[in-house]
Formats: sequence, C-alpha cells, structure tokens
Amino acid sequence: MDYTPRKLMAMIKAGFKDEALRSQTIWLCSSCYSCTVMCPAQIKITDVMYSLKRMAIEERIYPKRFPTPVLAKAMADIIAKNGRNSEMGVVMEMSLKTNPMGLLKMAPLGLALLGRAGWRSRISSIGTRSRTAVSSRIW
Amino acid sequence: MKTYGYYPGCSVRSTSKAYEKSLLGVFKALNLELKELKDWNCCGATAYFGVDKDMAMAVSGATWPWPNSSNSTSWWPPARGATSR
Repeated sequence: MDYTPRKLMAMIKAGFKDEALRSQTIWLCSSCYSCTVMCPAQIKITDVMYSLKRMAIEERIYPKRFPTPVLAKAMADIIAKNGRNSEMGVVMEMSLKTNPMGLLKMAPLGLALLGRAGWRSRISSIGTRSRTAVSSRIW
Repeated sequence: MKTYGYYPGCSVRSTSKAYEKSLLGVFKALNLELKELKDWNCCGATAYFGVDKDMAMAVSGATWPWPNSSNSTSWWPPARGATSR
C-alpha cells in the first residue's frame, strides 16, 4: 500500500487528484466496510474508494500491470455478457493481461482447486430467454 | 415443510462450493426446503461497483423481481453482497 487510507483522505481534501487515482491503495480496498462503520469522522471510506476506482477506470490512469483494476473490468464484461460471473474466466483474463508467467506458478494450486473446491471451467449463464428479458431492461 | 426461494449467486457455484454444501446440509437438518430461483443473475456486488455504478445498481435491482415469480413467499440469498446494496 503506497498511501494509508488516512493519508489518501487528506490528499483528496488537498486536491492531489492525480496522485490519489494513481495509488494502489484504492485497489487494495476489498470493500468490507469495517472502516466506514468505525470512522470517528464518519467518512464513508468504502464509497470514496469505489468512487476513486470508477474515476481511475474512466480516466485510465490506474497503476499499470496492477491486477485488481483488470480483474474488475474483466468481471464487469463477463457479467454484461452472461448475466453471471465466472471466476475462472475472470482469473484467466486477469492473469493473461497482467502476469501470464504467474499462471505457471499458480498451476499446482489451480489443479488442487480443480479437484477439491470446484473451479467451473464452463461459463455459467442465465437462460437465453431471461437474458433477453433482462437485457431489454438493463443492458 | 416451509419452502424458501434460493438465490445461490456466482461464488457459491464456484470457489465457495463448500459453503453451499454445508448450507444445504443445515437447511436439510432444519427440515426446510430451498427451491432455486429460475435464471437468477449476478447480484452486482463488490468489483462491479468499482467499474460502473449504474450498471451495478441495475444488476442488483434485477435480482429482486425474480422471487415474485416463484411460489415461495420468502427467499434466501447466501451471498451477502447481494442484499447489502
């Protein structure tokens, strides 16, 4: 983490927009909302982080080769296409775009997961009829 | 036997398969039936909010009308993100 959340809030207040959007901190937030619940100044930190993420993606100034923004984008694309997320699809796209060699290192874990936890290689999708119905309503 | 609508969510069908297994076990032990909602879609939680807020809200919203079409009176989502929006 390059800036602590406390530092990041101060940076936003002081107008360091570019630095804030470029920071890794916003992409490390896993949105558990613990800080939002506990913040003595009642800053909605998680929502601020989400806003910063969206602004960074919009302006394409996120840290290069940093996996999380790629993951978020890949996930959104898969959902827009299939109506559901595919963890296998997201992880493959993220790895190929950011660190393809890392896939080799992760292969033993992946294989173990195949047997135990149940990776699904097939992309699950909602029915075509429903998809059309949902599409006409939202996407 | 009371029947609940069941909204599994994407993770429960993938890396959180173990969670679904224990969940179904608990419901069976409590003599409650879970009936999977037809054609449920992504709940729009977590990473989606970091990309497109309007789409994420729309996707979240689209999960809610489905339960009405099933016969059960209430529905049960194990995916927490789905309901916190």
